[in-house]
Amino acid sequence: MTRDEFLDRLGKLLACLPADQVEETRQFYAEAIADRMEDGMTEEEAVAAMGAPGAVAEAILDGLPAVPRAIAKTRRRSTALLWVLAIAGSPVWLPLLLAFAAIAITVYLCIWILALCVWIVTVAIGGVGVVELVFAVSGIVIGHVPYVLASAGVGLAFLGAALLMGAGAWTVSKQIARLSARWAQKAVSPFWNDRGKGPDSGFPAAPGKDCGARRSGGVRTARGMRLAISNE
Amino acid sequence: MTSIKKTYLAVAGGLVAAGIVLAGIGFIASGCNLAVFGTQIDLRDDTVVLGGVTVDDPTGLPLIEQLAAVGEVDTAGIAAPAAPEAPSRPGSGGDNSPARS
Amino acid sequence: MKRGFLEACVLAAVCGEESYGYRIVEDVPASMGLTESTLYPLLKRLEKAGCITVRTAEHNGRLRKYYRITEAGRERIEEFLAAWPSVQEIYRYVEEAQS
Repeated sequence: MTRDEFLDRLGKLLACLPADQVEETRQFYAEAIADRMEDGMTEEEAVAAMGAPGAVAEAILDGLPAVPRAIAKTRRRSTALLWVLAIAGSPVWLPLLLAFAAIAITVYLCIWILALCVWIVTVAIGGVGVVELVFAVSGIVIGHVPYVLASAGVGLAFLGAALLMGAGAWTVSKQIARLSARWAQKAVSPFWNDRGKGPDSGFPAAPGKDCGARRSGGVRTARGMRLAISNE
Repeated sequence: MTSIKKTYLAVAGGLVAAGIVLAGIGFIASGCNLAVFGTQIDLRDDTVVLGGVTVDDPTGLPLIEQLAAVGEVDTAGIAAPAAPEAPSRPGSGGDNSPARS
Repeated sequence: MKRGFLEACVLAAVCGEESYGYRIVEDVPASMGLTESTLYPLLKRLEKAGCITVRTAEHNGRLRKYYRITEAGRERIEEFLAAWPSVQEIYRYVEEAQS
């Protein structure tokens, strides 16, 4: 098989993909064949080293997320078949898709409402603290010393508690942000997949990473392994 | 942990501790009377009770003065809507329903 | 698991100076069995994840793509290396079960 034959065949097999993606793939293989020929192989040998065009196309399609892969593979058999399946199956897949979207959005909202609740409680406690301090001022006006002390004490304690809860709420919000990002990633994974990113990407790295790797070997190891296995 | 975070937590913890101590002192100074923690503003008869002491004139007391000025909200004119009349059962003749008998 | 190994090998192949497709295939240990059809999706994935950068340059009158590792890619290698003790542990477990 010549280089052009190989590339044409590959282009045909990948016709289900966007044109720019097909062109990029063809360029990659053209470059690989040219590099091998430059290294002393004949054109025939270089093309043979790429493997069968069918296997090459299969490997590229396997890298796609589940839904586009299924669409691409069906389209490869026949575009008409894809349309027939899409229309005939619409009473099934359309409600399923809508339900999936509704659940995904609801879970996402619930996660953030949880964070909002924590902040509302924090602000409410802070508000109580401020009102108690205002009452303490009233106590000064009427000259009721024990009331001033008690109100100021309760006010300060509530303000302090609000600050502590604020720190907790901040931590919770950060965790929730991670959770929601992970959820969003999971929700879109059947349609659009950033598999290269790995399960922990997009999140701020722990400070002192280098020594952390040695200190908490167990955790890091577990993460690394998960990365390796999840890519399998 | 950064020093800012440490300071923040120290301030918050200090506030809570100081507050509890102050409140404790106030409680003891009042003769261990729980009413010292109470603040009561009754808009019906404009009584203001701060820590068990009735205040005759709330003028000059921040927030409490404003609250007292709100006055009583007149709810006398608002009546619960009357329940809709139950529709009469068609065919008032023989009543076979066991629940009704 | 092999995919994780391949990923680390490809990152290692571009972590010194920049490299191109055919040279990566040649540089990676033969036991990994890396071919262009495996390399292409892997490079796309690594590029999308920001682990490598790509630039196109002219070579002998044609265009060739050169790949270079990024900071995120180096972190990925570190993560891979940190996983080594657990891989050893699994190896030992299997080895002991065999004997």
